[in-house]
Amino acid sequence: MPNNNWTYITAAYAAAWIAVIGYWVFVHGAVRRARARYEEALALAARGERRAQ
Amino acid sequence: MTWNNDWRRVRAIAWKDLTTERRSKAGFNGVVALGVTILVLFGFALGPDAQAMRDASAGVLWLAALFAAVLAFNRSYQVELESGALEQLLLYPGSRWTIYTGKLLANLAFVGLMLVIVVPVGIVLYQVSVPATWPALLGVLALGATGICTLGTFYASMSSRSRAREVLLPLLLFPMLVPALLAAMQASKALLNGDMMHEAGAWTKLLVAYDVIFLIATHLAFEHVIEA
Amino acid sequence: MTSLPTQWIPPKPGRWPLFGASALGLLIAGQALGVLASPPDRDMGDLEKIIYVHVPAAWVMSVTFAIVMYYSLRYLWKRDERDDLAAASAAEVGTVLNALTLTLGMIFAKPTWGVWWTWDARLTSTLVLFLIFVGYLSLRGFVDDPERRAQWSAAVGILGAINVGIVYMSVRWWRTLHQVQSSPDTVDSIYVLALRVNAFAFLFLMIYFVRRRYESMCLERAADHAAEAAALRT
Repeated sequence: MPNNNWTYITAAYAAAWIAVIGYWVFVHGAVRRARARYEEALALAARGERRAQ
Repeated sequence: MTWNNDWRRVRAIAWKDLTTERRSKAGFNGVVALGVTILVLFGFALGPDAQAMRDASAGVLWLAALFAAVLAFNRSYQVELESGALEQLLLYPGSRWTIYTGKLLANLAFVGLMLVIVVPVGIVLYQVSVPATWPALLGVLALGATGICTLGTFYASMSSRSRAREVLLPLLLFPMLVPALLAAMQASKALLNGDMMHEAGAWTKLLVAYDVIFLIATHLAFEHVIEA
Repeated sequence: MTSLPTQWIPPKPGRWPLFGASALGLLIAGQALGVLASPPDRDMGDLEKIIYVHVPAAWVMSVTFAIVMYYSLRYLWKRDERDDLAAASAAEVGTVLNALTLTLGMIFAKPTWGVWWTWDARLTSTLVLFLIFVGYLSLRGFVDDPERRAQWSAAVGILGAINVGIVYMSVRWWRTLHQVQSSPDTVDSIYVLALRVNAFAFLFLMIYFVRRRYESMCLERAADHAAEAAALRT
């Protein structure tokens, strides 16, 4: 019985790390994509500015 | 002076909602029919053991009431949405909460009327013996219905104006109703069984507190939600 | 060179990545402390080790939802869209922590009581809370207009947060009134230092995640605003 418990303990710590690493990857991807979109929008706006002038 | 005006608006809106519903009797009949159907389906799920059904009767009744009421809630905004009347209503000067209170009262009346039919049917179907404490049971029904209608009317003001309204209303509403449903079910169950341990009182207090808290909270929040 | 309206400058990463890395390091240290340095509990045996993840996750989850309530109230008061984004970020992180708490609760339940699920007050309340905030996130998913989304989310978030205590109380009554055994929730030989380190590690990680998610949401909205401004100019 005591040996079986270590399966559960491992599962618990694995779950925690899956959550942490998983969200880490997700949020950094989200920041990267959003920053790319932002830079692009800024560049587009700047070009529009220059044309208007 | 504006207090009288506000309450006139409330009554006007409640009356308007109810008469629209009454003129379409199909709406009310449909909701009642659904309530009864749900009772029957649960009967199949729990039965044929009569005792099992009797034990579960309080819980099942509240679930049937809830599922049937949800149909009514989205519809309470549907008429205005289809005719564009909501913007018109908002143009009138005056407190927004009157719109909410009016609709809440209309929904309460509607759900109450529905329960008048569905509860006796449930009592018969589930072979429940009406206890001596039935007035208290009526009180619990009223309080539970109030809790359901309060949050139901509130969330429907949002779900009816969004995409996927059929799924959004239950999704938002049901978890929020857990304390009210739990209290109503347990109080009803206790009263049906003679309430030997006097539990019903405690659950009823919780129900009252819940109703008061959310009546106030929804009235305060409605203004932010209807303008958007 | 450009005269873009600048009230929508998104926040910069700044020193935050360093903060995040430190939080991660603290988590590793805390877990090492918990797993290696603490003796087995006399009742739970080695299962006590799960507490070092479960309790911090649950506690930080509650803090996160308090943050949601704070920023939701702030939004209704000040109407600054960034408060809405902060609330949404916190709600997302909170929901992840919530799912983790539930999972860990189930992993603890199976060896302890033999079943994956018990309708225990804490576990059940956590499940209801999870459903409430899934509803919050779904609402945001179904509403496109930013201002409407912000107003509605704030209302739903505040109502949800108000309900949390009531849900827990009612579920607990439901369990205790019928004399069902409640789960033992105090543990004697818990290694308090390890618990504290893990709790702070989770707290710092949560703050880091919320901040980075907020950053991504602000960038998205800033991109929207920049595009709008450009469209107006042409």
